[in-house]
Amino acid sequence: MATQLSASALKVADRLTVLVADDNPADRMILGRLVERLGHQVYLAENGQVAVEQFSERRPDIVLLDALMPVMDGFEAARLIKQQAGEDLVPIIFLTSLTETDALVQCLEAGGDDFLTKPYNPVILDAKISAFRRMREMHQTLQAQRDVIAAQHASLLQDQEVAKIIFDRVAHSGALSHSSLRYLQSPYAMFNGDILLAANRPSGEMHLLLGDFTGHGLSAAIGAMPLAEVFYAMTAKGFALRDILFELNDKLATILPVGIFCCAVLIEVNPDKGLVEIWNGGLPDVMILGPSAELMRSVASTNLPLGVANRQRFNPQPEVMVMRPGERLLCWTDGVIESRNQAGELFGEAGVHEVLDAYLGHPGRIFDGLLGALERFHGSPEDDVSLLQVVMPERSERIPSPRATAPPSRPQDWCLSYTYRAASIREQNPLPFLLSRLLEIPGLRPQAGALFTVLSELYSNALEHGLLRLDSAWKQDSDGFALYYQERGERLRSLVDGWIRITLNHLPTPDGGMLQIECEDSGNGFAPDRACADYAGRGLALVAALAQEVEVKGASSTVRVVFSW
Amino acid sequence: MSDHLPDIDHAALDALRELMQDDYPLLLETFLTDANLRLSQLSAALQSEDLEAFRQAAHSFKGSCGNMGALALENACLDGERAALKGDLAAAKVSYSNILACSSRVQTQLS
Repeated sequence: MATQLSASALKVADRLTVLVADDNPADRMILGRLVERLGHQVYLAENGQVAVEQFSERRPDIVLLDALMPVMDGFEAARLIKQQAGEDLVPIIFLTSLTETDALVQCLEAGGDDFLTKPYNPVILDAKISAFRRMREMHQTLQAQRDVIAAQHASLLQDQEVAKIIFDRVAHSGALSHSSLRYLQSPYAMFNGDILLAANRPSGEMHLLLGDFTGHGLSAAIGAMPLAEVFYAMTAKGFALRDILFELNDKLATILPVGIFCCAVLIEVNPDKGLVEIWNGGLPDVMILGPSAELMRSVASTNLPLGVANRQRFNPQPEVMVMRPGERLLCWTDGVIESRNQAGELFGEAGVHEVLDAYLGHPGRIFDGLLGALERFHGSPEDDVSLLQVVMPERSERIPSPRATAPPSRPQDWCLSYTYRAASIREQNPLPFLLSRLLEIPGLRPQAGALFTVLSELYSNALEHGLLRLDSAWKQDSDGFALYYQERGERLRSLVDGWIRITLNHLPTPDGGMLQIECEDSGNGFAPDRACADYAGRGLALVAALAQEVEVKGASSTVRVVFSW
Repeated sequence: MSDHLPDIDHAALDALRELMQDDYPLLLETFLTDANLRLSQLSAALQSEDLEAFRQAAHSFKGSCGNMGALALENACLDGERAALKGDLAAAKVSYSNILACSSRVQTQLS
């Protein structure tokens, strides 16, 4: 028995409550007093059962427990106490003069943390209690930090829920439910940085955007919001893919920090003309499959991702190609190619081609086949993958929109004329602006789609045939198409002379109104007879079907179209 | 072996007196009462030839003897515990008489 029994000078915070359970009354008195002298508060118990009761009632910090006791021994008491303590750390020190290893093992198995042998040594007792106090404090700190982390995690999840609701409203599903589309996107794809958008232009073409932001989590989702807004707003106003690409790139380059950008594929599907436009900036090859699922073309990325290049370096020129009804287009984010199996092997381009080979002749099963192959390869459904399939629809028979009764409005009796000269023609697309002027006339709103189609046909005829002197005869096959659009781009860039004038003449009538659209250009005119034989001719035929009157004047460099309602 | 050990470790007893202060007489009384209880448990265990009961009583007695500084008695209890563990009834009986002798000396000195 040592003499150094420094009486209690413990700070209140260091004071512990200690339960002492020993059936031997003399031992119990001595140990109780020793612990008190160390400055702690003591509760006494004379057997295991009383010890367990005292524990429930007092919740002591440390338990000193004799192994052999009547009524309930220390082993059983230790088990019950540990059970009650749950995830709190309550150290149990067995009091024992046991020396047999088996008995000591039994103490440990019952949940004992340490031993104290008789006769008691106050210094060792002090050391053990202090050690367990520090362990308890650490444990409590750990638990508190764990709780803080758990709370923060919960709040993060809640933030994500809210972000997802907002995101879903901004990047609403748009036209993704269209029957020509199939897609796979995990519900939290936005947090993987994936985005998939679809919308229709007023003239009926569908715009699609499949994007993959670098990075994950909220930062990627935040970048996706302006992307979606610009995409939807500009598509609804009738802008062409090229204009939208410029704007998206500018916007992202302005707001995204260095190192964050968006790999994307933008697609315009035009069933009326049987054309698609594809722009690929940083995503895997877009594949176009023929009627028996044979690979006809793939469109590799030839552009920088959105948000990287400045306006001068950015090339927004999509590839234009023919797609016939029933042909399909497949595209996906890196997740497909970069999917790894348990062995760490890549699915890769090879994996995709294997699937294509396997489903040759069964185009309708390709999409599911690809999903299945990925799932088998990966061993579980992939949630870091976005996949899109577009099947070119049959050319739609355009039904003129029913004429809605126009709300009463001030009579609008005006004529306006815009002349676009070379510099303007090179740089901008005047159609969304003209359309928005026309939609100020209530009676025309129900016909926005038809109007937009007519305007764009007139404008592109004037531009491509009048000013750029492109020959529609080239557009007889896919190669010719590529040449045509390449040539169109080059000639447009080097256009220095010429003009296109569009005159809108609106005359109210007692019941409705009449609109004359006249499109005139400085070129030598185009031959409608020849144009009618090919794709471009479809444009003029379409105009004829939509408008009440079409007149090609004189040298055929002026076309006049009349709408009335 | 017990011959070499003193009946009482007086230094240990002094430390106990210092620790327990006014409760020291109560501790002595408690120990002596418990000692009588253990002796009767040991005797009863021998009567019924229950060596496990003998071992437990000897073990517990040994523990408090150690704390009280009753060195010779503690050692006698250890002998008894070992004998019972080996299942040696005869040796246990020898130990018991040894425990009795040591115990009575301790009681005399503590009272």
